[in-house]
Amino acid sequence: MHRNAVDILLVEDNPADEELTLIALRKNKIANAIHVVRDGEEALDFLLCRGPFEGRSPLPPPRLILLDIRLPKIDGLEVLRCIKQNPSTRAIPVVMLTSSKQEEDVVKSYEYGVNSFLQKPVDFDRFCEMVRQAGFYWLLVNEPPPPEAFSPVASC
Amino acid sequence: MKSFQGKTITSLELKVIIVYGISISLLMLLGLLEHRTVRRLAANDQWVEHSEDVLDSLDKLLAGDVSEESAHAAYLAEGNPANLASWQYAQEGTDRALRRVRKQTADNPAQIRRIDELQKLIQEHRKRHMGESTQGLGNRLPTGWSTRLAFEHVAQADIQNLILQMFQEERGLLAQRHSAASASARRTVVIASIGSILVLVLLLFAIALIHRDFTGRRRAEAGLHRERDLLRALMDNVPDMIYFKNAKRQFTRINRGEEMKLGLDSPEEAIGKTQADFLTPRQASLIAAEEERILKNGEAILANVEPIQFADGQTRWLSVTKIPLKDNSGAITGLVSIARDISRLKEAEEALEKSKEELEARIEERTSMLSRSNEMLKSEIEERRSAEAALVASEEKYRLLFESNPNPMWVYDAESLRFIAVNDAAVQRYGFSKEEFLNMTILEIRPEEDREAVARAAHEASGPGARVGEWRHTKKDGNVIDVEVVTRPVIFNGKNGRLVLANDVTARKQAEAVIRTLNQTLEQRVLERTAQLEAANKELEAFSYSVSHDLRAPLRQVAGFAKLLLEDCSEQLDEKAQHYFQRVIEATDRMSLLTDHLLRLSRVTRQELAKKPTDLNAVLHSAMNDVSDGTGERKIQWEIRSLPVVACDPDLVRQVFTNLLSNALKFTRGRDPAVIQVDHEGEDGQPIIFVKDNGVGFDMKYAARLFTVFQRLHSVEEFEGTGVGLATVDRIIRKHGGEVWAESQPGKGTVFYFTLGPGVVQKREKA
Repeated sequence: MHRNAVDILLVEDNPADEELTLIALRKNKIANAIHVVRDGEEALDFLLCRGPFEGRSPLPPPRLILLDIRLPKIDGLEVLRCIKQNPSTRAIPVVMLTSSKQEEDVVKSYEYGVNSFLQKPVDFDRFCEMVRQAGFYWLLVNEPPPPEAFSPVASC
Repeated sequence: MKSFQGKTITSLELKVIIVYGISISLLMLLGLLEHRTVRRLAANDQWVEHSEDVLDSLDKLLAGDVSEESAHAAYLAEGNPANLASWQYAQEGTDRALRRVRKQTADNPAQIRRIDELQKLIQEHRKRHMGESTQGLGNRLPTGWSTRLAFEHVAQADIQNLILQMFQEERGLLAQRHSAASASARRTVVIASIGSILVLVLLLFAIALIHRDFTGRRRAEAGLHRERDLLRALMDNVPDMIYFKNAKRQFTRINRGEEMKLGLDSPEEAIGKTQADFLTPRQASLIAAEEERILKNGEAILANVEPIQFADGQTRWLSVTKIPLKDNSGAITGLVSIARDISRLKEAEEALEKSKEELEARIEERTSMLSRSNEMLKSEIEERRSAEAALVASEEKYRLLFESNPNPMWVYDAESLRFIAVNDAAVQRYGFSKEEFLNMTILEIRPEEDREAVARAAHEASGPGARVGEWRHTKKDGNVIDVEVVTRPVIFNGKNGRLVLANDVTARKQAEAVIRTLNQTLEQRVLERTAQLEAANKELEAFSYSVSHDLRAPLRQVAGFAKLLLEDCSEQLDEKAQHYFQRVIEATDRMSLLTDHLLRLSRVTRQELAKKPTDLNAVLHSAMNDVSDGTGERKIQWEIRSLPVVACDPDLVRQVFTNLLSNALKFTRGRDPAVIQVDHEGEDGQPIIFVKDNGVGFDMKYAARLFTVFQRLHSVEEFEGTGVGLATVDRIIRKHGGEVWAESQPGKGTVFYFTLGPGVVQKREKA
């Protein structure tokens, strides 16, 4: 595996939530390379290798993106739309991981091409279980897209 | 020509008969004449013969007398008795001759007289003789004989003289008769000659007549020949179909037309045959029946129109005339038929008939239309008339009504728009005097800007009814008032006018204006309130979003870290700390539940109703599936009755059942068995549905708070819950226009009733 390789890109503005998510991942032994970004803009900069991430190799792309909806700067749904519109990123599986179960958000997410939509339960045990199942499925069960599925990086 | 005992006799024949008749009569007359002449001649001969017989008898008488005389003389002389006998014999001969003469001359009185005289003479003579004989007998010559002889001679001469006279008489008669007979014969010869000549002349005349007739006949025959040829040409060239038939109905002659009808190659083919040989059996039998009648009754058929099927299969309409033919004796010997093809005519006739019928139908239709409109017109006229009559009758009343009406009234000319009459109220209200009014048009009491519209409206208005309009009028002082104007067409003094009643509605108008302003304000306020409500709704939405997202995040973090403390740092925490953290976790769980339920409630509030006919049984069963999880070992007795089909939103009603059933399950915990009953009352379509349990129940004094959010009648320790479920039920039922209520007794159980449409509860309460 490449030195810079990232398995999971976690987009989460709240440090408490970030910590709880990381704990849940760790507890489930999904302690692979996890990169955390704090807002939508940073997430897109990272994925498209621009701004602070200029020079970062777009390949290999993250194997999973965990995306919150309420994000500073660029909203999570907008980030999703850009990812799924960009040929260099659209093959990456994106899972919405959010407190909201607002029907409107669910509908929009699927409209933009989300791969999965998960609502974080208040109960921590159930949250851990959910994180375990998602990580297990997307990182182990699911066949990841081959490198040919990604075209060179283009602007959003 | 002249009919005579059924025969026809020409004038010629009559003439000849007359001539012959005359001739025969003449001949018979001649015959009769000759016969009479002959008979007369024969009679003459008889008379001549008779005369000669008489003469002969006279001769014998004379002879007898002489012989008697001589016999007497001899007797006297000789006295010989033999002489006496011969005397007597002579006497008998004389008597016989005398009788004979008398008989023969019975028709001649002169001769009879003579005979009588003669007889007397003879008798006297004989008497004398008798006397002499008795005296002188035996005396041959008595004395005085000579004298007696002389006397004797004189007597004898008288007798003979008388006989001679008779002779002369008879001879004269004979000569007379001879001359008469010869004269008659001469006459007869003359008449016979003349008659013969006359007969001869007559016969010659008859012969001349007959000869002339023969000549005429020969000429007529030639003419007849010519006519026959003409007839033949005519027959063969007319388009009509002509045939002659004998008494057996066989054709004796047909023309070219008939030949075509029968479909023959030559007219001779038909001779001796009947239609049966050429036409269809049906057609032939019809014709046969018809012709049998003609032949039997001798009645002609004249221009009888009938359809005839031709040999070529076509059916044509023919005008058929059939006339029986008779011989001189009047017996029917056959018939002649003349038929004319009138198919074209018939078609034309039928077309004409049809168009006539159509025309008649149309005329009828038009007539009924006309009569209808006539009726209408009549009734209209009647109405008009009665209206006019009523008008005249009440004119006076109306004038009074007009003059003393408290509302301004006037009449204006429909053409010039000039005032024709105004009432006192108008003068009073508008400030113009009557004279001023009558010099103005109605436009002059209008504001300048209205005048065009008024003029237009005044000219357009021509209907019979009254019109109501709202206008503005200008008074003499310049004030403008609002008026409600009723205009009605009237005939006023023979002019087309309009009667106007003006009602000052300025005050009302002003009030209306105020109301309008108020209304507008109200509308504005409604709009504002609506906007406020909409904003509140938006806020509510934002709030529920926050609840679901922003509030849940810290809640989750609290719960998460508390859990992590308990799991990962349990060694550093004493029992009390662990218990507190446990409480924190429980609190977060409960708060999570509350937010979930609140969200559901808000979603119900915002959700649009999707009503459709719904089988409540299916909805109930799906709700039972939702709630039966986790009932586990509990003994539950479900008493479910069949529910009706009701118009409602199935998703929301399912939530109602879910909440009510989970409530029932919750509050029957500990009951063995728990009895939960679902049923309905009332009609299908809008029933009252109820859910009944044998649970803990509640005090009815809290019933009013039952459906308020977060209101709970039991402690969380007793029965878990957020107090949102029944509030949600209430919202859903209200959205449907129905109502929900509960009846309960603590310890006995609770019944929740609900309806899914308006009006049901009131009805029930009334009942």
